[in-house]
Amino acid sequence: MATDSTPVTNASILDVRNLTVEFAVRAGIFTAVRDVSFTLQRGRTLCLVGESGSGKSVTARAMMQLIDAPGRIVSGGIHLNGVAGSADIAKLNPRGEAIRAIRGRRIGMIFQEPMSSLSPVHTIGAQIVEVLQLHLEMGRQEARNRTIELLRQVEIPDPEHNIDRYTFEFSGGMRQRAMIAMALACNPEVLIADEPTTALDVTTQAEVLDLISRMQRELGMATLLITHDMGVVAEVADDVAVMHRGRIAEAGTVDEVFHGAQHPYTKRLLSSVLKLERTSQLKTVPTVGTSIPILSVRNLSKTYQPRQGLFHSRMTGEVKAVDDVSFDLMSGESLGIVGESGSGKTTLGRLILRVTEPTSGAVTYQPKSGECIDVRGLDKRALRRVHQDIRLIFQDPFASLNPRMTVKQIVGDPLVVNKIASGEAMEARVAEMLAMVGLDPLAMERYPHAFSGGQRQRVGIARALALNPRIVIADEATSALDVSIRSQILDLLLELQQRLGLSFLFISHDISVVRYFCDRVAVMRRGQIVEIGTAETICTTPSHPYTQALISAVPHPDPRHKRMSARIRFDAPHN
Amino acid sequence: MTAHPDHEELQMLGDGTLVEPVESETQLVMAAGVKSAVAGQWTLLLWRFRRQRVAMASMIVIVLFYLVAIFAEFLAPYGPDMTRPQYTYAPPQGINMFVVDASGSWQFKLHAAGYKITVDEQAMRRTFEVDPEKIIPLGFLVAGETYRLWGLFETNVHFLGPTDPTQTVYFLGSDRIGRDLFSRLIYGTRISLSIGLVGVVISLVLGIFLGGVSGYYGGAIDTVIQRVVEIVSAMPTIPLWMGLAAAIPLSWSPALVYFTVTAIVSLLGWTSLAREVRGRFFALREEDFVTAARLDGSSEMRLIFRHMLPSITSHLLAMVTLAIPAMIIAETSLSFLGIGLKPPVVSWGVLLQDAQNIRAIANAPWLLIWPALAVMVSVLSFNFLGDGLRDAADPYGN
Repeated sequence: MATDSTPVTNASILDVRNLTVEFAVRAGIFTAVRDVSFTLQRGRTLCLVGESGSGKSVTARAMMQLIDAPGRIVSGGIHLNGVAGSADIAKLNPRGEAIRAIRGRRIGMIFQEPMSSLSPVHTIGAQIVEVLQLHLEMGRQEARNRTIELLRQVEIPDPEHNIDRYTFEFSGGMRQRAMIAMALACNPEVLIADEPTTALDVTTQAEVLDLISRMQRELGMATLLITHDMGVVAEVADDVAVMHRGRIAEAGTVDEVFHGAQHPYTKRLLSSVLKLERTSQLKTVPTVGTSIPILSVRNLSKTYQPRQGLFHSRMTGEVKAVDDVSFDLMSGESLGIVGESGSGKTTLGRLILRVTEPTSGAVTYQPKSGECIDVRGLDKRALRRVHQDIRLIFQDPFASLNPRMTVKQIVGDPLVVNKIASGEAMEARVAEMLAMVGLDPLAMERYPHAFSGGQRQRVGIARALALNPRIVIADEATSALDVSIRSQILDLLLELQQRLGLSFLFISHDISVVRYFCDRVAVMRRGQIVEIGTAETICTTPSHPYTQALISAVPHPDPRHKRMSARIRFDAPHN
Repeated sequence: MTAHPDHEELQMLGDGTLVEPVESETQLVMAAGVKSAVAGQWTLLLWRFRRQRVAMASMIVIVLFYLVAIFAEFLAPYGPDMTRPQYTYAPPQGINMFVVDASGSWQFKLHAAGYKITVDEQAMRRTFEVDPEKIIPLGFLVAGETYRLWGLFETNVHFLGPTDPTQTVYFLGSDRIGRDLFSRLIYGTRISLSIGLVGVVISLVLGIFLGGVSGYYGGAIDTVIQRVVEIVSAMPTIPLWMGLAAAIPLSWSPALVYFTVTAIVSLLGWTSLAREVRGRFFALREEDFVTAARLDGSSEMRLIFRHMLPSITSHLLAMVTLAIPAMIIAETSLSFLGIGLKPPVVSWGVLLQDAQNIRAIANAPWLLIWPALAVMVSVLSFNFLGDGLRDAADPYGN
C-alpha cells in the first residue's frame, strides 16, 4: 500500500491511450470519455477519482469491453501487455472469444454493489468454482479446494462451511470479500475495482481496502481503483488521475496531486474535501438559550416483531431497531446522530415525528409558548401542528419530490394544506423561500426533473422551511450529493440556522459532515446511543471503543497522514 | 444510507438532453430543456408517446374504428337486417375507379361491377360471378334507406352507395339470406367495441378502490382483500357465464342479456387490476415524497388523490387499454360459441357464427375473412396502443 514498500518495476501492464467513448443519444452524440490516457503498472494502484458523471465508470467498463449500447469505443487503444501476451482490448469484439479469455482471467473486476453482482440463486462457492472451471479448466474437486483457499485468503471465516452458503446469507462486507475472491480466482494481472467500498460502512470499507492492498502486494497485480472519495484515494493510491467531464484533468503520484495540485478543478475538489475536515468557519459559538432543551427524547424504543403464517398471525422473534434512546436537543444547536447502516439512526428520526410509531418511551417538544407537549400522546390534528414546527429533510433528492408536481406546488403544498397561504400569497412565499435557498424564483413553474441533485435538495429544504419550523431533522440530507455540492448545501443549512434560529437533528453516516456541521454528536450502534458529547470530543478523543474504531476507520484525505493503517479495531461480541 | 454518486451518470431530461452536473449549483440548467422543464406529466407522456410510431398508428386505427361505430347508420349502405333472398352468398364486388368509355379512353367514374347470374337448374341454386362489363355507378352522400341517426335525426343520406337506389352493391359480399356483410360489419363494430367497455369500467372502479384500500392501509384489511382476490380469481368464468345467461329472463333483449352477464362477470374480473394497484400503492406509500406530503399535514384523502393516484393514472390508462382487447376477444368467442350475443343483435362474434360450417367457408370465404380481420386488427391495435402507453408512462424512462 505504501509507495516506498512497492518494488519499483516500471513494467506497464495495461496502457490506455487516447481512449474516447461516445454515446449516441437522441439529441446527438454525448462524449462520456474524451481522449483519456493512463498506464497501470505492476504492483501499483492507480486511483481514478471524479464526481458523478465524470466518466470514470465508463472508462473502467471500456477496459473490459463492457459498455452497453448505445455507447461505443470510438478511438484509442487499451493495450494489455502481460506475461500471457499482448492485445489491444479496444479492437476486440465485445462478444468475441478473445475478450472472454481476458475477462476474469487476465483482468479481474469488482463492482460497487456486491448484492447485485453476485447471483442470488447459486452458492458463493459454485460461482467461484465456475470461474475456475471455465478459465483454468480445473476439475471439480480441485476447483473446490482452490475456492476454499481463496475464501480463506480474503479472510472469510470458516471457508469450508461458508463456501456452500448463498449471497443473502452474507453481510455486505462478506459479499464484497467473496466478490474479491472471485475476481482474484485466476490470479489476474490487472484488478479493476469500481467504487468497491461505496456501499459499505466505514469500518467495513477500511477492512476491504486493506484486503485489496494486501492481495495486490501478494499477487503483484496492477490495480485500478475508481472512487469519488478523496479520503480513500489518499489512503490507498500510488498514482492518481482526476477525471472531470470525461477528461483527465490532472494525473501524477498521490503526493503530487494532493500537495501540488495544478489544475483548478483538482484544487477546487481538494479544497471542498479539506473544508469538511474541520468544523465550519461559519459556526459561531452558540450564545443564548443553549441549556434549554427544545426536544427531549426519553427511553425511546422501537421493536419489530416479524409475523408469519397465512393470516400473519404468528409472531416470531423480535428486532430492536431503536433501543432505549435518550437525549436532549437544545434550542439553537445542531445535534449529530452518527452510526453505520442498520444502527437505527433513520428509524430514530421517524419515531420522533411518529412517521413510525414508537413501541415505548417519550418524546417531549417545547414550543415557544413554553408548555411541554408529549408528542406520543397527541391526536392526529395536534400532531399535524407539531409537524409544522418539526420538519424533515430527506436523503434522496430524487425520491422526495413528487415528479408530478411543479416546484411551486411542492414548496407551496404545506402552506396550502395548513391553510396558511394560498393563491398569490402562497406564490410570494414560495418565491421568497426559493430565493432564500439560492434558487431563482422563476424556477417555480418547473418540474423536479429539470433540476440537478443539489438543486433538488435545495427545493426540499425550501419545502421544509416554508412553515417556519423550529426544529429540522435532516436525514442523511447530503449523502446523495457530490462532495463539492455537499459543502455548499451544508453552508446553506448553517447560514439558515443562524438566520432563522433553527435547531438541527442531523442524521448521517459521514463523520466529516457531522464534524463540519454539528455542535454535539451522538454515536449509535445497534439501536443504542453508545456515546454522546461535543463534536470536537467525539471526533478527536472519543472514549467508547466503538467510537474509537469508527473514527479511526475514516479515511483521511492526506497521503502524508494516513489514518486507516493505524486504525483501532472494535471486536464486539456478535449477538 | 450510503452515497451512490454514479447513479446520475448520463442523466437525461425528458427530451433526451444530456445534462452534465453544473459547476455552480445555484445556476439553473438553462441551456437545454427549458421546454421540458415546465412540462407536466401528461405533456411528457405525450412527447414520449409520439415517438412510438406503431402505437401512434394503432391509435389512429382505433379512432377510425370508433368513428365507424359512432356513424354506423350513415356509413353503412344498407340496414343490418335488409335481406334480399335473390342474392344469397353473393361474392364481394369491390370498388373501381375508372371505366373505359366508347372511344376507348379511361375515364374516372366510381363504380362497382355488377353480377352475372347463372341458375343451376339441378342444384336449384343461383351462382354469381362478378361481371366487369356491368357497371353500377356509385356516389357519395346518396339517398338510400331511411334511418334515424342515433335515433334522433331522420334522414336517408348514406356516405357511399349506388346512385340508383334500386340497384344493390355488396362490397364485401352477402350472407346466406342476402344481407350485406359490409353493412353488418359496420353495425357489428358498434356493439363489439362498446359492450366490453362496460365491463372494463366496472373492473376499473372495483380494482382501483379495493386495490387502493388494500395497498394503502395494509395490515388486516390487506390480508382480507387479498384472500378475497384469491378466491374470486379461482372461480371458473365460462361455466358461470353460461349459467347466468340461462338464468336471465327470456323476455329481455339479447343485448341487454349480454350486457347484464358482462357486468356480472366483470364483478369477478377486477382481481388482476386490484393486485396491480395494490402493488403500486404499497410501493408509493413508502416513497419519500408521500411521507413528505404526510408530514406537510396532508389528509389521507389528499394524500391518496393528490399525491398517490396521479402517480399511477398513466399506468392505469395503459392497463385499461390492455383490458379492452380481452373484452373484445371474450365477446367474439362467446358469441361464436352461442353463449354470448345472439341474433338479431349484430356483432363480430355473431357474424362469425355464419362461418361455423365448412360449406359456408368453401362457398363464401368472405364471411370468415372480414369479421375475423376486424377482430384481429382492433385487438392488435389496442395491444400496441397499450404497450406504447405503458412505455410512455414511465416518468424517467428513456
